[in-house]
Amino acid sequence: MVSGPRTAESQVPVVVTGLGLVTSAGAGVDSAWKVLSEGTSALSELTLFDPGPYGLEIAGESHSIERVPGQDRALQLLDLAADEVLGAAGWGDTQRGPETGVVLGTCQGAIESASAIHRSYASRPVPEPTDADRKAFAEYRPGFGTTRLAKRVGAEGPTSTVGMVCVSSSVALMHAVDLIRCGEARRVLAGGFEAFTQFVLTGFHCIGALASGPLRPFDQNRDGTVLAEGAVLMTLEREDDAIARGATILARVIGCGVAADAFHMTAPDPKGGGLERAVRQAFAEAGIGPADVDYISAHGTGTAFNDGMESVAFARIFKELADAGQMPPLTGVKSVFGHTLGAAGALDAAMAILAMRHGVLTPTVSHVAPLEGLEDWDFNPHQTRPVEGMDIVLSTNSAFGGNNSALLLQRAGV
Amino acid sequence: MGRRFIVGAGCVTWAGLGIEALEQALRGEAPPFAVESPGSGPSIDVGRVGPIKDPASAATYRRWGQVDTYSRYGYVAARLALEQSGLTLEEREAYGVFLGTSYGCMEENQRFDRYTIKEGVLKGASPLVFKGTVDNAPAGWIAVAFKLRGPNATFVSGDGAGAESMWSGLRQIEAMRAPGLLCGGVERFVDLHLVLRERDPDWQGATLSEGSGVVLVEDEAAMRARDVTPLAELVGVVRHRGSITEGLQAVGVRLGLRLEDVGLVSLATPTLERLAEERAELEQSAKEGGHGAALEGIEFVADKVTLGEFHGAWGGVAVCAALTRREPGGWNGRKYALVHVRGEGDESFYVALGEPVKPE
Repeated sequence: MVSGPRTAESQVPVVVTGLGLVTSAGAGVDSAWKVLSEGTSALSELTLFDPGPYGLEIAGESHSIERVPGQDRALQLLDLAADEVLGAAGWGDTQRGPETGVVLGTCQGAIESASAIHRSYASRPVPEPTDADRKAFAEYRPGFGTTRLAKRVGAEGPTSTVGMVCVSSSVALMHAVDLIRCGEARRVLAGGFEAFTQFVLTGFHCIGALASGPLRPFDQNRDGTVLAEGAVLMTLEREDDAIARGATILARVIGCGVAADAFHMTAPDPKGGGLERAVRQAFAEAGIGPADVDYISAHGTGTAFNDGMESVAFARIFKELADAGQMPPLTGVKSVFGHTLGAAGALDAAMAILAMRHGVLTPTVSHVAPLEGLEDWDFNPHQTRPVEGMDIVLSTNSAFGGNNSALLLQRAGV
Repeated sequence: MGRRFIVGAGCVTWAGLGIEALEQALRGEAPPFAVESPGSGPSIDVGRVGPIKDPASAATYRRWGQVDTYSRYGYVAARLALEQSGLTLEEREAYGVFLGTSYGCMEENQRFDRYTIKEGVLKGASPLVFKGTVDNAPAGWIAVAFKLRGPNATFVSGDGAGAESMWSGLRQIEAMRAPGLLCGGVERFVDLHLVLRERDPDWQGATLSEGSGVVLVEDEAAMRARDVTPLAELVGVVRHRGSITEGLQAVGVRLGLRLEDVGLVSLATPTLERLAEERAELEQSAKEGGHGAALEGIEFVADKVTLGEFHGAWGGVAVCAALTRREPGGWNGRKYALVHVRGEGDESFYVALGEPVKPE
């Protein structure tokens, strides 16, 4: 059933007009799209540090940046994505100033810098701080990357940083939409960034969340996730502004939702209650229902708990469609790029936008045997295929802390 | 658009747990700041809370023992706000939690790193510590323990993050994503903060403090349905870049408030000298604008001077402080109070509180 939007402000259309990213597939939208659409994997051998203790075969390391002493890897990735998105969006001097905001999401931000100073200050008495320590400590604050990027692009409007692990950047996109809808900004540069660090790898290893091989979303033989890094940025703006300046509109953001499981700090609610609430919030805001969704870009981390939770939630949300054999196709792009944590939500959304624009369904690579009971679901395990009428995509993410997010994106021109 | 009210408030500061302790500190009746010297530099005052046990919180959650100190600050403040609100377990289902922090889970990050440095990356890594290495840990624990299944978010936007959580919390209510949310900030500092602070000869800020301030913001309709007495109206949160003078003008324009109706302005000013300067600037500007009389009768306070610099928690703590300053009839006999919170990159937040109106 299609009902009207809930509030007047949700009628202010917000559109995406530019993308910029760096992933394990390399720098640039084209690099990522090529790997995804060809159904290959961007994961490779880890070279940043010794993978031996972790028993890792592959990781989602980006080879687009080099290690530079004194430069945090996460910020390097962010810079690279910014280079692309600003050019792609056609933002110039007119788009600088107080009506432009920046909203980013990150899980650990500049944790690489932090770990360095943790090592320096692990002993007593604590050493005299050096200038490098002061710089690292300043960069350590999660919001540092956001204010730094705002200065770079001349954004003098609201700046904000979201720290919500794997839903960080999807909530950052939602927050950007809110800022535009309520008139705090006319346009916002939004997205997320995350570096591959030993800190995070060690953490995921100790909770037993890492895969022994490929990342296999929604597969019976999935055994964990593959960590990755990247930065993904989008330019979001009022649709009337975008039209007035002749910008290319990539997609429209029509609904957002965020909800808590209130179940456990690190394990998702096995009933998928939080994810369902987030999705239904997004539906209500967009004034659409499950039958309007043409494709689901799922979080699909390849862990037993997450994929199980998601499938339970989607089974309930889309029950009528599934019973009628009309369940929308569902894929997980992490099978290609790995799990970029704080950048994951924006990366999933960016790939969903490209899929809509190209009119194709990209594959869930490494997926062989669907979860029991989901044999009829379309995970598109093999290769990219053309689809007609892919107009609305549901992109979802879930995170530690029991957070869940849902974004509804509509193809431009619909 | 309906109105929103604050129906519960809780805080954790060096002065103790709860609003009463905060009130005592503002009256100058709390114990003095602690004195610490983590490095080889001179000793400094700190608004140290430290590890807290809080049996009342422990009684609310069987996994309390797993909650890290950073999260406990937010947890206790949230518990106090919830208890004051009278919200029942059944009523909480759709309510959310939005918190802000500047430094987040640094202490747990440091602990995790230090264990792995000491014991090696595999032997030293603790799952229990790792789950505290996320900035959204307090919001997560609060949601889990108190069964708040609505929107949940954590802003790590710097010193304005606590106020930003209120700005965004209001958006959630306006967009009908939740009937109410716990909003505020939480901060826990690490020894590196102190080391850098004690070595900083140019430091002009307030005493470094840790803790949390959280309020429960509720939609008027939900509040009326529960028949509770609000602490204040949350009239709005205005984001603004520019001088405080311009900011106060923006508040007036955007929220439709007259300065003549404002009885208290709480400025995010770290010293009394700076407060005097800012007040003089405001008065000069008002005089030049021909409305100098508007500032008469407004009490300007700089609560950071007394309470300390709470960074991302300041928005929540400062609003709690402003609530304690309300008397029957409002603030200094006027309807509104404005709380200024300085954010990143010259952005300021102005939280406008209004004299509460008992629901009909």
